[in-house]
Amino acid sequence: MHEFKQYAISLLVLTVLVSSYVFYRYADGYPFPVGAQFDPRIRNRYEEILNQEEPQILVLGDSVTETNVDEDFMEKESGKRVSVISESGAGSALLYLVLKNNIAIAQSKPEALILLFRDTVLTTTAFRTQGNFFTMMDEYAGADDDLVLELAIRGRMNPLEELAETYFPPYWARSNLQTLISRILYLPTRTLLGCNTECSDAAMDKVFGSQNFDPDQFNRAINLAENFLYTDENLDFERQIDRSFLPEIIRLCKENDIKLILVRTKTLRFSREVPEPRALKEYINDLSNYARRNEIPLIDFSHSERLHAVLFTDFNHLNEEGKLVFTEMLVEAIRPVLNPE
Amino acid sequence: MNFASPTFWLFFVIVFCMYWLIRERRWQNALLLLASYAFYSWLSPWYAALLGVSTLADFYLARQMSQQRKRAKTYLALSLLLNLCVLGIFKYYNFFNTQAAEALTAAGLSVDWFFIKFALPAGLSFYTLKKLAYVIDVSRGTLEPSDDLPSFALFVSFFPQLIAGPIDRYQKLNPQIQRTRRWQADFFYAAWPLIVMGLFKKIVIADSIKPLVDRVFGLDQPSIVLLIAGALAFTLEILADFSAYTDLSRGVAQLLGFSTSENFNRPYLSLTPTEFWNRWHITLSTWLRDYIFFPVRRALLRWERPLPHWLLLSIPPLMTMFISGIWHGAGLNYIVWGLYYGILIAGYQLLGLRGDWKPVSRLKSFFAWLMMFSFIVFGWLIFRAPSLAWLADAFLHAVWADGRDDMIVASIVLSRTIFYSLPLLIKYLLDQYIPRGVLRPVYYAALTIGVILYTGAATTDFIYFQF
Repeated sequence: MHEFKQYAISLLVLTVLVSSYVFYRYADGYPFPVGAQFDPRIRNRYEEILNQEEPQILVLGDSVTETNVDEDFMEKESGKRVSVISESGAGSALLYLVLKNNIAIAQSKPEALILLFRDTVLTTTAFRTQGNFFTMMDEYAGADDDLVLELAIRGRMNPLEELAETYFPPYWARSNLQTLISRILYLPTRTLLGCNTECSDAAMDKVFGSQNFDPDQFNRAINLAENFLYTDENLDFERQIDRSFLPEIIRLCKENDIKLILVRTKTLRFSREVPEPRALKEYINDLSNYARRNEIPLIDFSHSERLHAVLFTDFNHLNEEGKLVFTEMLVEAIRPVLNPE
Repeated sequence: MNFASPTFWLFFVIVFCMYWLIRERRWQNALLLLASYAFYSWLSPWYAALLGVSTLADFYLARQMSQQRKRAKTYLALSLLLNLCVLGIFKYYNFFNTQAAEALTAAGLSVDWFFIKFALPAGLSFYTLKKLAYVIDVSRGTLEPSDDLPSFALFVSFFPQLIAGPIDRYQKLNPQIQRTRRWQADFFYAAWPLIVMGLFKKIVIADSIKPLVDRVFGLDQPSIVLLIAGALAFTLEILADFSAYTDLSRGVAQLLGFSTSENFNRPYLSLTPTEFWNRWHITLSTWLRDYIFFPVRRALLRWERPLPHWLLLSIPPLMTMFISGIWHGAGLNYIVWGLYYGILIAGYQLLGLRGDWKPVSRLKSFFAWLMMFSFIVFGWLIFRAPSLAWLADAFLHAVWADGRDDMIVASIVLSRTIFYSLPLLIKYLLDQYIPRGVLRPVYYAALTIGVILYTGAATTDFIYFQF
């Protein structure tokens, strides 16, 4: 009992010390705003590209977009100006931010926006929003993007977490304090090898680049990381749709006179050995109905026989040959949508 | 629902409050049994069904053994067959399935029917060993079989131990199940350091090191320097992860008034492989010693033609550790890892260096420790490697360091490994030299702040769930 008392007092003292440091170093006021906050500056890289290239068709998505869509080939085949925006690691939150803060405000807006997605990505709001993904989102988010924070960050918190975030300084500032600790952890490398944080990060990126990974293990890692897309909760379309960015994406496109086309890409996650779960089939069925109700064309390549396994470099990305096949299929599929007559 | 998740703690608070509000032992046990099955059903209701059926079977078979002593061996064989078949089907089916499927594919045959996958129920290996110890002891006549099904079912399914041990014996848990339990503040005072330590080891140490380990062992062909850094990092990760689970399990059990076994006793300070296995996963080691090692040795000693001394010393550890390897997983590297320890134990024993061996000087002790620690790290390298071919390829073809970037990354991995092992080192020094005083509570308070800062940084399952 005596030891527990000492522990409780020590914990109180340490909490006060850490809290004082948090107030001194990071806090602007109290209670704290819940969840991480966006920096008001917005990167307008894609707005500039759109104004420069003036595309008629814009293809948007994560890294799969870059490996699956050949811009020049698509331009040649479709006879329209095409631009491709590929944000590696993008979840629906980042795609929404790019649309809202870059594409929708560009002077030259595309006639059609082709949004590439995999399975439940469009309604799994919290997918890829933490850690480095938050930093990526912050680049394209502004001070008025509270919806993203609400849906992707605060919406995931339980009441206890919200309380701790609001009133408990060490918890509120934990990501800042973690960054501080990780800076300390770079010190030995800096001292011994003369390599600072940027140099260390560059070395990590180079050594642990995807090209250096064992393909089987890489696929396993992708599978593991994407398990979140296939939880019971995220496979429930009706439950997720109103908490997702999809309604906003549709609204923004309609308001800006951009024809939205949803394209579901193929993944090798499912096969004869590991069949697609029934809940995913139901999800896609619900998504199709929702798209139809909103007059959004949905093109589904997920079961395409033409995209054979040999055309993939991993579970999600295509090789150069696959890229041409996919682009050809995409042009064929969107032709009747863009030219209905 | 793992012990480091908020869902578990919400579940536990509810169970805890109800448990101590009920003052009748029988109802307390009923609540614990219900909670244990609810906890397991959370993972999958099928797992709970399997647990229930296999518990019923062993309860019945053990009773038959006692009632029909002449047929005890038959009932024991039935129980062994049942338990090992279930374990074999769920744990090893996929392994043999894949091997067979590859062979069939190579022969141009269809393999569709092979791919009806069985998922391994978490904790199966642990509760199977608990039940096997029980039925073997009953068959030997050293234990009276239980005539109280709910108590026996609680012994098997006790939720703090269900997923990853400790593998406590019936003789240890049942008297506590039968005892009247009233809340005592001492339960809390014994539990809180375990819970703080467990959460810190899992959330701060293991989960911080894991991404680096995964990356190194995910590389197609890592350089030697990266392999060494990765192996050292995994050495820390597996200790932190598994001992965290044990600490949390023991802390939770303690809050319910149960005292359960320690599983770790500073294993990386061992000087010999036998000592390592006396300090690492202690409840598994003692299980293997009592039900594999000793029986094999006794059988060899009773052999009609006396065996040479070196064979008598070598066969029991080799067999025991081979089985330990198989128990850990369906993969050739687990078997090789087990045999590696078997060879090490036999080799040390042939040199006269038994588990209780202590060198005379400090310098010799240091070198003995360094050698054993190197063996341990190499063992973990075999254990964690994605495959033996990968490991062989790394040793045969890898360069020392593929440029300056490799050295930088290795230094990052090593500095993090050293940084995150410091709290364990401080704990050792405190336990060893300042067991009383204010420093220990301050240490635990600092760990608590660490847990708060790292909460939500990464959440992953405990490594030993897969076994």
